[in-house]
Amino acid sequence: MEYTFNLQKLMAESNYLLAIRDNFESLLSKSVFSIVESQINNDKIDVNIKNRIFSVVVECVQNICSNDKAHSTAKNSILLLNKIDNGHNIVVGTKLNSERKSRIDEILSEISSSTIDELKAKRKNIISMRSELDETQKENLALIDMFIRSAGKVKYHYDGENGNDCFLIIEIEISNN
Amino acid sequence: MAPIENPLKQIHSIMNDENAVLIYSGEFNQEIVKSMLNYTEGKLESSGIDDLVRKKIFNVMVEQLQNITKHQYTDDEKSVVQPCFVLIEQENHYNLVTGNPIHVDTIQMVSDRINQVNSLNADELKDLYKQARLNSRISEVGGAGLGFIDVARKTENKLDFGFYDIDSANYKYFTLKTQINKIIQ
Repeated sequence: MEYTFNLQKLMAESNYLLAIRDNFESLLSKSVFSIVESQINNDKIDVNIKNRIFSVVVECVQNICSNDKAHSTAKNSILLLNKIDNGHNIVVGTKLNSERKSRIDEILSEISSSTIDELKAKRKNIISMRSELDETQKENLALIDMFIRSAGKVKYHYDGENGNDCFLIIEIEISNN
Repeated sequence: MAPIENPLKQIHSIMNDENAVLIYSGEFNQEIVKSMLNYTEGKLESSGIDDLVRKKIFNVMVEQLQNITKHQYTDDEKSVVQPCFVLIEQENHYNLVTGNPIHVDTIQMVSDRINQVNSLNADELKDLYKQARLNSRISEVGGAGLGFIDVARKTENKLDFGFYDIDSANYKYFTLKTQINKIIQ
């Protein structure tokens, strides 16, 4: 049972408050939001910051974690909330097949090289055709939103490439000011 | 893009290896406890397990989380050690694991009490529970003894526990793991 002690040590040393590994299907999403909400309500931070954290978590859970329709019962995604010096980090990880990886990679590269104003314009454009959004546009919108809400403080990398699959990890920093 | 630091990878890897689905580490209060119970309830609902098992898991979790909330570290010593809760889903059972710092003076008593509980069969546990309730014996750790009996009766499994050294002369880290089978025997 030493793993519990080790997990707690790792979590506490890096200020991770919460880690959820799941398939994030819709029934569970609500409960995930409720845990995150109670966690951030605990902190004495501005309500706008809380809303930003919450919105990013919603995008992560609804559009990044729960998009693996082919393996909907497998626990292929992870969500972590981490308190840092001047804010919070939301870390999301999810298993991608090669097709989704190339799609998301393209979106992330494009977003990373855009300014916040350009992203806002892109978001506006996507929202204007909301009724026709496909999976790619939803992912695009989610990722754009993460960049805007964090003022561009988004890091990502791919881990554990294994045949057709890899694990995408995105870290989004929401600072308190 | 620079790789994101190591603890995350380690946490994810331990979660995968141990089949952990939820870890919370930090201050426990009523709101946090309620949201974790809601999460677990949603999870159990979506997994389609028997209502009786669901009720059992829920009751044991309430007991364990209440204990953590009641006995969390309140010493002045600065430490990175925090109480924690881990929910593990295995193929045939769930494990609920709690961890919190415990004062060294109470270790022997807690350890004796759990060993006693683990040595008894269902009827003996029932008697011990009745006796403890009748005597209204509240132990030094605020009734945790009764909690151990209750949890052992509800889970019908032995309690697994351990004490680990932390950077403190007065405290060790106490972990308690309960197991609830998905199918009632």
